[in-house]
Amino acid sequence: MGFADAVSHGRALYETNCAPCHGPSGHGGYLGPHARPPTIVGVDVARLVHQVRHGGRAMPAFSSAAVPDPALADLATYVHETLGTPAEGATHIGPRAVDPFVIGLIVWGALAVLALVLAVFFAEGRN
Amino acid sequence: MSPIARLGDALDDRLGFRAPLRRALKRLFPSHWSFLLGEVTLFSFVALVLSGTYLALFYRPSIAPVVYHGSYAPFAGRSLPEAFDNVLVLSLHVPFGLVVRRFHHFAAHLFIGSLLLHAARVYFSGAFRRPRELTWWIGLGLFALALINGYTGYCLPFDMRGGTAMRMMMATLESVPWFGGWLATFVFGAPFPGPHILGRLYIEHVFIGPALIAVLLAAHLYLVVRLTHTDYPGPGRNSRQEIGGRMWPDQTARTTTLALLVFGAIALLSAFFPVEAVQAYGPFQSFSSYEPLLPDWFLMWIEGAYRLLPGALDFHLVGANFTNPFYGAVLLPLVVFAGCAAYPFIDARVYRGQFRGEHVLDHASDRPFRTAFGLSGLLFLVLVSIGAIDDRIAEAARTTIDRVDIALGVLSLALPPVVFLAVLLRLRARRARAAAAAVARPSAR
Amino acid sequence: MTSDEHVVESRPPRRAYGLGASLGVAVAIGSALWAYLEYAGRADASLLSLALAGIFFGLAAAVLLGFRATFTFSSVQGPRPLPPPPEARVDLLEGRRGLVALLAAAASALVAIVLLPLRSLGGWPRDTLRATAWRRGMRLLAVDGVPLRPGDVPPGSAMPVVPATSPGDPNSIAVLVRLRGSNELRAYSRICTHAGCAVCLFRADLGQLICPCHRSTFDAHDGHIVRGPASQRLPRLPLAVDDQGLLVADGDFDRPIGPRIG
Repeated sequence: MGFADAVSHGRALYETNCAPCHGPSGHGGYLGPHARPPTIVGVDVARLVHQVRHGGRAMPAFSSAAVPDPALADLATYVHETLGTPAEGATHIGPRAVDPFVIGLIVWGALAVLALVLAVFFAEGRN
Repeated sequence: MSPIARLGDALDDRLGFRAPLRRALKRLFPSHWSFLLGEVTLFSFVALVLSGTYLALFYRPSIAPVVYHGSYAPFAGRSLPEAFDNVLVLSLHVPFGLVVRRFHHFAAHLFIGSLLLHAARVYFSGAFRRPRELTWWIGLGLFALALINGYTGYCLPFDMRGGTAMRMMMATLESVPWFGGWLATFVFGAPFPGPHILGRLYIEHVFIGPALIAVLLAAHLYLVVRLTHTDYPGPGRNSRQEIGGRMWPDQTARTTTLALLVFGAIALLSAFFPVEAVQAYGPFQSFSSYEPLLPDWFLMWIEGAYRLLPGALDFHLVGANFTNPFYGAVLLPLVVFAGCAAYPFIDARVYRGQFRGEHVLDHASDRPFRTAFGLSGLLFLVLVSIGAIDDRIAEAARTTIDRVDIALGVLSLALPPVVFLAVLLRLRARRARAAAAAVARPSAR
Repeated sequence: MTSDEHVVESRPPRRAYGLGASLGVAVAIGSALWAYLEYAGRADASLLSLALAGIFFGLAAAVLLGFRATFTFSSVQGPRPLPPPPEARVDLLEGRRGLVALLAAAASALVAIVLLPLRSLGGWPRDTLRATAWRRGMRLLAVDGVPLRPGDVPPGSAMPVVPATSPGDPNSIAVLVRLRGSNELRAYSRICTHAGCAVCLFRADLGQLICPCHRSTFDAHDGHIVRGPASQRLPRLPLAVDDQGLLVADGDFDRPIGPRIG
């Protein structure tokens, strides 16, 4: 199994097990005031393996039935080498990056400002 | 005689276009800058159709699994739904593919954004008044169709975001009291997701939606031309006289320039802002979901309603369940659209006998009730939209999501009436002062 | 111009506009060349879009300034071309109300028939909407198809599971949870009872299952709701162990899965 397959397998595993909490691009998430999945872009392999097998305070553990050892190796390769990198080519998706809600804030904010300006403009009675 | 003149003669013989064209070219167009907003919407739609046609050539609405053979390593050799694979290939491997995708995306956002601004201009200047109520209703229909098409559009790639959006659509359909189950089975043809729904959404997005928009748009433009364009009051402008530039050369130049500027603005937006990176979201998988999945900004008000309305409001009555998806995605839009549709009658009742003429616009400050109502209504929708990002706010403010929901819920209900009263009273006071000053001066209007 | 029109304001062409128009054309052509180079080279989408924007803006300047350089733009005052007043009523069916009733009856028959092909789109039965594949004795599989034993689920973990006979059935997806502290094993439907998203977030410290879409939170001890907007608890799948030590379901979910149907 060459590197390309390991990355692809790791990616599929990441989507199933990690992306819900850590974000599709590994930039972290938010589950509550004391449960903030951190960013895991480029995290080193040994640390990832330990964290996955043992869990954290709020993070669940993943047994060898959920993620067998070879699969875990692929997952670690993917997270360490490819996740969130320019090689992945992804624009950042996640709470700490530009994603639809930020664009929405910009658009809504601009519309609101424009509406206010129009209202003031009309109110002055000028054409 | 030149060849062009001869061609013109031949065509005129068969089509008879010269006389009506001559008349049309002489028509006058009032030239306030805000009247161009509707044209921005029109040209965004043209951009949508053109870019969308190109995209449709690369897309097949099927969720059947295919193997990805491209060079993008994270998906190498993986089995993906065909629709997702098509969009992935288009975005990553077709040379102009991502450009056209981004162009289509921002054309859609500009379409809806300029439609909103245009509707706001029409509302605050009173252009929906008699005899233009039909034009207003057709405009509301266009707005609804634009929202629906925008929604089905980002379902089509069948990535995590699109698939989740479809799941919520099904929940919304199911939540309609008494008819929900039938409605959901009718639209989806099977339990979720089923093999049919993507094809049906595709036909809606590519054919039914644009066809209906085109028909309504034609009717809208016909009415605008037939009833003549309104204008603000001023010297030489009233219900019988108008001032403006001619169709040729003034308006032709302006409209063509505006079309090019709209395309340029869409291209500029495409250059600087990212669009939904399907390769990051990954294909839809029914057993999973992601944290930051949000609809596009024009549907955030429904997402906010979902999050802010408490589950305690759900109840059961006479064999039907009334649930949160029904309140947020069916009841709220119905109320908003019905309110907008009914507004011309409310306005006519409030301002009975106070109009300067059927084709003369009002300044927003001269119509306190209308301006106050419109501003507070928009404020309500903006506050509800902010509810869509309650978890981000909770994270930033280091508090619980519950507190943020309560705060936003209270704000959404309390702030609009306050703003309504404040604007109403201020504008009324200003109007009273202006009237008193006019009486004091001997020179009449 | 007709006799009742007159020019209010006139803007004659100016040479400067002609220069501006030429500049616009130059920008457009330059941007087109740049676009071609980008396309032939790295084909970066952002730069291609920027070049495209340059073409459009250059053309816009060329058109507007070209027109302004060639023609006189004028503000003209004239009469509004209002539509003619409405005509008197024409009653085409005067005295023939019977015909109207007949046509209405025939048309409604046609409309009624049109509903039949529409029915083929989806059919009536609602029962299939909530049907799952879980039965007594059906094995639980992990997402990659491996059957599970109780020992495969460590305390403080949650994993998606599917039924052995229909692993691809979206209605049947479940989540298998082992709670920290009490060490109990639980299985629930993974479909949120609010709007149908997958409840795929799990807090091991509080033993809570959270739906990412609108943040409905369910307690993993018994599936009850901690916070909405969901109003129904998560359906629970009873568990048992078969004679080979593999986890099986002991029946279907204890209530209908997913959001309540209206």
